[in-house]
Amino acid sequence: MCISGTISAQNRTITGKVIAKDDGMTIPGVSVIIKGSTVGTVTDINGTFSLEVPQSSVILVFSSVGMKSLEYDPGTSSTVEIIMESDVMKLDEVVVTANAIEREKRSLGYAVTSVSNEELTKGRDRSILNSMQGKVPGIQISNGSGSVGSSSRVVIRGGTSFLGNNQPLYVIDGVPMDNASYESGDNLNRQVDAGSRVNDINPQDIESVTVLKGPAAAALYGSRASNGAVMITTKSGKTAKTGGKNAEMTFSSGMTFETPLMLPEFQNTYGQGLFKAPDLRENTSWGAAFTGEILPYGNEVDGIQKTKPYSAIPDNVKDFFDVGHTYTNDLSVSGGGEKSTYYMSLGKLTQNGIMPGTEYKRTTFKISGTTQLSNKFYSSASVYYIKSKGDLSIQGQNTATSPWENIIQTPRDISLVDLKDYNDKYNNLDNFYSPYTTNPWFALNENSYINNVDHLLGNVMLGYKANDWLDINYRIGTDFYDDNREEISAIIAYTPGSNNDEQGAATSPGRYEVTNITSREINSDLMITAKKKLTESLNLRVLVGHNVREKHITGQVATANALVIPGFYNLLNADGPTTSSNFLNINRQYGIYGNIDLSYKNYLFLGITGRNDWSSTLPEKNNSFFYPSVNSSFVFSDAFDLTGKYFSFGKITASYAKVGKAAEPYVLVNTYKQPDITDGYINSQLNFPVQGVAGFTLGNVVSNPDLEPEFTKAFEVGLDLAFINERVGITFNYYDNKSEGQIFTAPFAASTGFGGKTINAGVFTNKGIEALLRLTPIDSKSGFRWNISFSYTKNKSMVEEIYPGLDQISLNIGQSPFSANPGNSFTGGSLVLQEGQPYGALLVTAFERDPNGNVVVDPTTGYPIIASDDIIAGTIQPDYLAGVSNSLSYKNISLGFTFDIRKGGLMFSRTKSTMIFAGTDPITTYNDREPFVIPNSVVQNPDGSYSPNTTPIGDALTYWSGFVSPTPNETLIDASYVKLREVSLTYKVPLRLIHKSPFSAVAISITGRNLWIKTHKDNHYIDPEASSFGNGNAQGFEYGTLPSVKSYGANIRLTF
Amino acid sequence: MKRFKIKFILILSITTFFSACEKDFLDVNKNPNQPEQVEAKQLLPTAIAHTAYVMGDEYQIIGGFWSQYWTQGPTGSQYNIYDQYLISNTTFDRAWSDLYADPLMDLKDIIRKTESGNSKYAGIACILQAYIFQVLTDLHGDIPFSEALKAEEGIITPKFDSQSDIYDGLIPLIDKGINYLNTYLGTDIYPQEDDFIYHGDVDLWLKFANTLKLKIYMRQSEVRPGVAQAGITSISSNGIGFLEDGEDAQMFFIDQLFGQNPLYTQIAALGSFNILASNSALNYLINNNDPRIDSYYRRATSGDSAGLHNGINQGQGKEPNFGGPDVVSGWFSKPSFVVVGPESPVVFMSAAESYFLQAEAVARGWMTGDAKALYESGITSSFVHLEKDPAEAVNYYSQSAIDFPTSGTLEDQIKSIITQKWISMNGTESVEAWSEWRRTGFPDFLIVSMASQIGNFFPGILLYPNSEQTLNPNTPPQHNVKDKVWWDVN
Repeated sequence: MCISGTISAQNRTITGKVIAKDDGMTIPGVSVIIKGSTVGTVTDINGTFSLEVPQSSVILVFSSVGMKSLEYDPGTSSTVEIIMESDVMKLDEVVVTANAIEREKRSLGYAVTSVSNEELTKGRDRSILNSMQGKVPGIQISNGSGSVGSSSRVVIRGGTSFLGNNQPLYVIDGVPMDNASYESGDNLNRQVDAGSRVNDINPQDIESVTVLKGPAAAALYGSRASNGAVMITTKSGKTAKTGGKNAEMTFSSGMTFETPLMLPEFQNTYGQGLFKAPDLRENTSWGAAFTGEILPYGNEVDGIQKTKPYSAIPDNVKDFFDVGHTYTNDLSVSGGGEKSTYYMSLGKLTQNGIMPGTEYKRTTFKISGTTQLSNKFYSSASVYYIKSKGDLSIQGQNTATSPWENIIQTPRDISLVDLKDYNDKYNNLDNFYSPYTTNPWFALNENSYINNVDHLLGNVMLGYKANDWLDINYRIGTDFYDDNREEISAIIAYTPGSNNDEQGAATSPGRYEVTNITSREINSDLMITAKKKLTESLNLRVLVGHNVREKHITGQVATANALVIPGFYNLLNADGPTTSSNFLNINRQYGIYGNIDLSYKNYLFLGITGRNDWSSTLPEKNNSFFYPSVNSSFVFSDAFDLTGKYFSFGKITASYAKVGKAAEPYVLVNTYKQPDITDGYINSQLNFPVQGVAGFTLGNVVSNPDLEPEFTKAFEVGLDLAFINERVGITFNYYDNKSEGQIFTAPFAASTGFGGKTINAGVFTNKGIEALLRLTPIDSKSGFRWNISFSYTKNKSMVEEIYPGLDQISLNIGQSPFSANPGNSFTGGSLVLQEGQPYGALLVTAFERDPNGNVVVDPTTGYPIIASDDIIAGTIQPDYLAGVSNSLSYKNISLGFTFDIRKGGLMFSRTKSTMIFAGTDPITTYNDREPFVIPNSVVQNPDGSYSPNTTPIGDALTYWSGFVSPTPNETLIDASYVKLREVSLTYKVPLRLIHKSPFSAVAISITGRNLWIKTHKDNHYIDPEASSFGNGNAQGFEYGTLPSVKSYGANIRLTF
Repeated sequence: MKRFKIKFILILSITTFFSACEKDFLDVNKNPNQPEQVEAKQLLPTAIAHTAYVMGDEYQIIGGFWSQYWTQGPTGSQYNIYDQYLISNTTFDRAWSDLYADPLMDLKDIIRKTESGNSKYAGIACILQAYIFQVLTDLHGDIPFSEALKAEEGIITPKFDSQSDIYDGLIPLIDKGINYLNTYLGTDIYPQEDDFIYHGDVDLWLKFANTLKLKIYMRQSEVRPGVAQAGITSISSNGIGFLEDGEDAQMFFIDQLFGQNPLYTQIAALGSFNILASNSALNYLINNNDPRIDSYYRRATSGDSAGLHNGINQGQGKEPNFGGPDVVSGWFSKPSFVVVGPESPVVFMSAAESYFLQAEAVARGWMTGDAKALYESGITSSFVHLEKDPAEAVNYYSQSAIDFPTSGTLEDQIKSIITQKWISMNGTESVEAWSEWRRTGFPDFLIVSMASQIGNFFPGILLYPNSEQTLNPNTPPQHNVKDKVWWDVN
């Protein structure tokens, strides 16, 4: 007061404008203060200010949220232009932590990474999870396939459970939500990826996503956050407010095109047939070498057989696919006044997939608001509604329904495009050239899988700020969705006496199934927070809370397993009885928790948490469990005042946490079940009631009334350093997690009469490092700036112990993707947990090999000997993951691109197996398909030693399709890749060009995702990110999955 | 202001309400989707149907290939490994796991539920357990028996009993079943339509039990003739008798999706070009003018043999260029819809088998009776089972090649009995026919499959399943498919 009085004597006025370095736009709302005083002002909507200052020399201090503060000496100038740069390093940024508590990042003793809206919407992917790929160290994100509406899986630091859910907890505006992905009924034959629910959220509605990586970060969320948490904060009205406007409207519109990213490489030397001889009904390319002659092909119909040149069609498969396209349109309005803010948005996405006829539509609607009710009460509410509809791709190995399965087997000389009219007399079921496969266009157009999801997320919060140190806050929220599905499989029948009837082609009675899943989760949180300044330098914050949640899922499935009238899809068209089933799952939990945070002089921080949960899924005697955590952060650069010209910031962190996890519902008591009597083949099963008699069978899991929660102990240390005005930054974390007393069904040998018992056992560890290096190599005065960041993640998972007497369990439990059937030529592989191996080891049938790795062959036939025991071929876990993100900006133009790198890990590829079987794989042309001695093969001598083999194999077809193709060890591929994950070029139209328009900002971008991929040299088959089994634990299997896509497009964003 | 306070208090009280009712709130873990208790009459049909499914499907096929009724067709590849003798340790994992964890365990559950008051169910369950255990040990050799089905008692790595111990244990198990069936508690509940085999007819179950014992003893004829003889002598005079015409132990199916014969549904799923007639059986039928040929096989529908029977030498169908580039499965005979139709029964034990067993017992002098008459009854019973005129059977067995060699050697007589038994089991009891071939070496004209990948050997045993090897450290070292089971001494 006193100072301002003295200044007022002799004044001068300085006017000026503040411009952002990044885009050259003016910045409203920047605070301008005379250093050493309280005198100041704020820039207006045009970024200009006017301030009276004393005649004497002054220093002006400019500061704004998200920008680097700046001191400026105006000298004697009366007009100034200030260029502010954004605070890229964000070392003092505020992040959202558990229970939506905002904390300064510097105070956290554990690893968190935030991703902003801008980064999430750059690539224009419909999924926020896909949009985070390559941007967050320590986290592995995979997107199942290139089919529309597919699911995404996120695993942080390798997970914590053998067989339980290993995905993190998702929390949207403080309310937990579910990323469940309910697979279609039959993974192997009619696999459909029907999406996962977090992918419903429109990236445009997100303000930021924060990943809390360790259990320490999420101790307050209780058991479900033991795999870390992904906190999603949606946009609110405050954006407009901080921009100095009462209201802001943004409209953005984009269009992207999609084409297959990677198609298999095919051979173009041999055509349809067997044993190098033509066979006009074959689905394989084992025929004669191409000659270009005009030859007959296909079946004779009405006495006429067609002809075509006997030559390869190199782009046959490529030409089958459509150019996919996605339109997105988003409109949002936000605003607010003194006491309240609001945000509304409407978004619409329409995607047509590369697989002809597949589509996905999503409409999102959000409305939220906050109000200061009186001096002490405040409240907020939010409703987010998403409606999505997909007409999805059917994948898997069943040729009757999976187009891809037919495509990769098509002989290299038969045009896929020419088969398109499947009602044509040469292409219809009766006369299609091959009785062994189905016309892919028939499979595509006559079968479908449609799902319709209504998803509602809502929450209401009421708070009471009693005084300046006590705050009471209650929030109740729900995650509710209704998922309706319809599966249609056409009748396949042949006219008696027709070509394909004669040849015994497979038939199908048709199928129609409706599924309805309703999931409702309610979460209630009461939190009381007290903050107290204990001494000048010591601050205390105490939080106590109470949480109740309930998850309630119901489902009904009704199936007509055979149809009467072709093409009519309704349950009343069932030939024979329809089958139906329903289920109900209820899971409840409540807990109390507390958190104490101490900070000393804003450079030393200590946090302690504790929580006790009570769960409905555990026995009453074991249903209460407590777990604590402690974390500390020390900003030594501030404590010892080390900052200088070269060294800018330094922090070390350490934390320890223990987290408990309850069981799934209904695992304590063995029950009776509907019998499952089948040989694994389609429609080859016996369903009760049989001949009017009901039947049940004793369940296969031994009751366990003593089950306890499982616990994970996590330790981590971290280091955060910045140099040279924060142009170089390093973040490094090391963690060591150990999970014990795993709840899983220990499998028993069938001879015990049971499949297993749900127990607590096993030790599972994950150790790893996460590193992030950020550089600003160029930051020129001309406005050119280049930022680059490298992220590196190495996780070493280890199954230390399973169960006494048991060193292996299968991860395929409950899914059995590999049937144990005779003759099923693709058996012999499974994904297991093996003691002493990383999580997810591939146990496969293999050729017998000598100690030097040479193939052991039968001395009389020259063919490989199949090893009598399956081998552990390797793990699905990568050696490391890495990402490189670049952003280059010059005035209004910015260019960003991200590379995503995965090194190591194996996976099983059915596409490879099928291509070898069908002779479409280039490797099958080895030695011109003449008999050869298998390279590096040996024979075993009577004394056990090995000698080089000299016996050639009988023929190439038998070797490739009879030995290599059905032996999974030979069809594994290295899952390494380098992907150009994202490219975006943005132009922000300078304000001076639009200042007379109604717009306050206009930005135009060109974007691309997954534009380029480089795979391991032996993988010319598929994008290794593919997975057939959705987002569950059983990864590393591609079982006829659609090719992934590259997308590119443009969008415009208008702000009013 | 006041309004807000009320709301706040309300919310607080809701929260405390949850805590106050904590016990009820968490008491939601009773499974609403599956019952915790059911009755024996809901378990018996499952156990029978599931056993029938394995016997009539996976085992019927391997038995059919290795008894040389069937062979792999040239245009398919589904069962190549059977003709190649290249079965792996996963090939019969499902059958093994199904039989132990489902029917055998369900039968045990029936026994413990019903032994003290509902003993008819307990009796049937014991007898069916013995039936299944014999099938398993005949296929796999030593298997878990005395310690099997005891996970709830804490035995999770059951030991593998020797085959001889298992055989010795099967008889008391059947006797236990017979005892239950013969016990009247006054409160007995008789199975009805839930017993798919005999509809609760206790006398027929007793005959089944006795015939099963006959089969078990007879299997030991070569390895322990003394035991076999003593056993057979005792059961032939216990007054129970053996299965007779019309008393086949079998389960029928209906022609409705998910109610059909399991082999029929597998063929429907995989196409009818995989399982074709083997010349080993087809030529025997042709050479002996057997009128049952059209009950066992459908004729070729196209090509030079259209309307005739045409088979493939065992394992020859997958030889390169077999039949030329135009070959189709329609050129060949296929399993008929009499034995593999949608409604065809799965046969557990036929009356024909009962007669042939008795004929052999008489021939060996272990039982009194007329071997020739029993032999002819066996043939006639097979004709009846296939709904053929019994008079045709008389014509058939009157041919000199089929006529029972009453004055021949024991070897001659056994050869006739087992060869006729083999042809009568075509497509219906294939596994049993393969076991009897292994025991006796008859029929003596089977050939090593031309697709054999194990050299000039026949297969003798199934491998231990991968799941058992992995989970039970007591699993013995893996067999070679050429190995022989205990009673296979020739």
